[in-house]
Amino acid sequence: MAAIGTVYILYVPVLMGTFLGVFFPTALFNLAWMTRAIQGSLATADPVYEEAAMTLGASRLHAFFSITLPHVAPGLIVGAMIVFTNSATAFIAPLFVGRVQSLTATVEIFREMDQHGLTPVLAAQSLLVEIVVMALVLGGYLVSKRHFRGLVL
Amino acid sequence: MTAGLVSAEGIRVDHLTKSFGSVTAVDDVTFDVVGGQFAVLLGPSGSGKTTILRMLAGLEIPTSGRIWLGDVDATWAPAHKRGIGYIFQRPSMFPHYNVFENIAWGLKLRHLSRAATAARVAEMLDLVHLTGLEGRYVTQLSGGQAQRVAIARALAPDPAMLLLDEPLSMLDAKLRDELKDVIAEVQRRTNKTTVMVTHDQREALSLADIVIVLDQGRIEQMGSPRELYRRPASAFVADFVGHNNFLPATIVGIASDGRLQVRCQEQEMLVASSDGLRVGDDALLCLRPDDLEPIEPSERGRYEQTLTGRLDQMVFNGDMVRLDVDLGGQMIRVHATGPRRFTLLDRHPETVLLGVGEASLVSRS
Repeated sequence: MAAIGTVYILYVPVLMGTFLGVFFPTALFNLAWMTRAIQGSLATADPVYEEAAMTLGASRLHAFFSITLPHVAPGLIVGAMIVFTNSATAFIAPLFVGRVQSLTATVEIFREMDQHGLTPVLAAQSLLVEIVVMALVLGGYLVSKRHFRGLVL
Repeated sequence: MTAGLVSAEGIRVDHLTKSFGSVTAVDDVTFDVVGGQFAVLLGPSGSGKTTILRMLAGLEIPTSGRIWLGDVDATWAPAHKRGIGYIFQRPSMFPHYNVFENIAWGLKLRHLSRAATAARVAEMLDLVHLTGLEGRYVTQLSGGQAQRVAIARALAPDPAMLLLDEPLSMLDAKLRDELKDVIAEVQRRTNKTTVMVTHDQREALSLADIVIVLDQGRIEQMGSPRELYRRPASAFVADFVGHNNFLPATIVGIASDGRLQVRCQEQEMLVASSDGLRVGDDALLCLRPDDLEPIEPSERGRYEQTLTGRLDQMVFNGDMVRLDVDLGGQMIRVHATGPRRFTLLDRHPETVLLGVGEASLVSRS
């Protein structure tokens, strides 16, 4: 997916080395993950809940925000966690399209390694990236678990 | 407490039609439900009954026709402004809220104070016999309990009317009886205009003040459960509501008391006249298995009319014995109850004399 995502740069070379240039292929790549994550939630989001909310006095919009959205929220959060992990450690797109301006830690680590070989500093940096990502994902999981007791997570 | 912007007492449905593409689900339906009445829309699947209910709720927009809730033309009013309580066939308890939050949901929209909300929820829980389960989530409840939460939730904002879409069909037999009693009790206590959809004629007969029988989007008959049962207007109603034996019959005359003289399987009977039937017409004689009683010749005096048939076989069902009786080539069923059923089983007579309690006529088409 990332490879497909990067092909477009041949046609729009202006985006080479820019934030948007990296953004597009990364987003395309992550779209598949996000869809997969929300799919499960959406499958259980029976329209009956929204209709029930409307007969109880909620407008269609209110019913969506107060019933459907919280219902798919666990899926959204899981999706966000995966996408965040993917993006924070994205390598291919930033390396190829980002070029001079490195946008992620992984690319920076790779460059360092390319120039200076394996150093203890690099190992420490990698570990730091891992810890940060793990901590954020775990935090997200705990928060959502508390908020969505009634739903499967 | 206000029930919403539209307050409804009675319900009037006027020439209501709903088409989905080329399929006409509801076809020119007109009926009235008096305020406080319990109406049941009865019909087989695909008869359009749920579509009518959804149009009453504002969840479906009619193709043509009018819906009046109380004095207000609510044909185009959105669901949330109709002041209705709706119970769905499928479980609809919000899974991310507990029982208390579910029931309080409609009250929150009406900006009730915390204390008033708690009091109202407690009242509703008591009404559906769920006190003590406030903190449970849907996964921790049985199907019957979840459906009772849905009833409490729909009733909490004090809607002007209650719409129920086959609320019992997803439950097992025992729970169904239990919840049927809850619904009857709730309706009696709150005296709300209620419309329920069902395909179960027993439910309809036992709950309704008025039953509206539907087939293929049209009203077949409308009336009290007893009227429907004793004077079916068509073969469809006679067959759909309760068990029935159908015998081809010819109307040969009119008796002095206005009843029709009917000739059926070489035997003659008098039957109360039915709309649209004249002398000479071919009709169907409807005899319910429970309205026929196997009697001794000496008991002839107990019944005004009797039929004689050859006993083909008997099936013992415990509280009832089913007799298959050959009436001049036509097989009919008779239900024998009481102590007599054992005498019959022991003796197994060749021929039986049947006392006719009730009979009705419908046109043959």
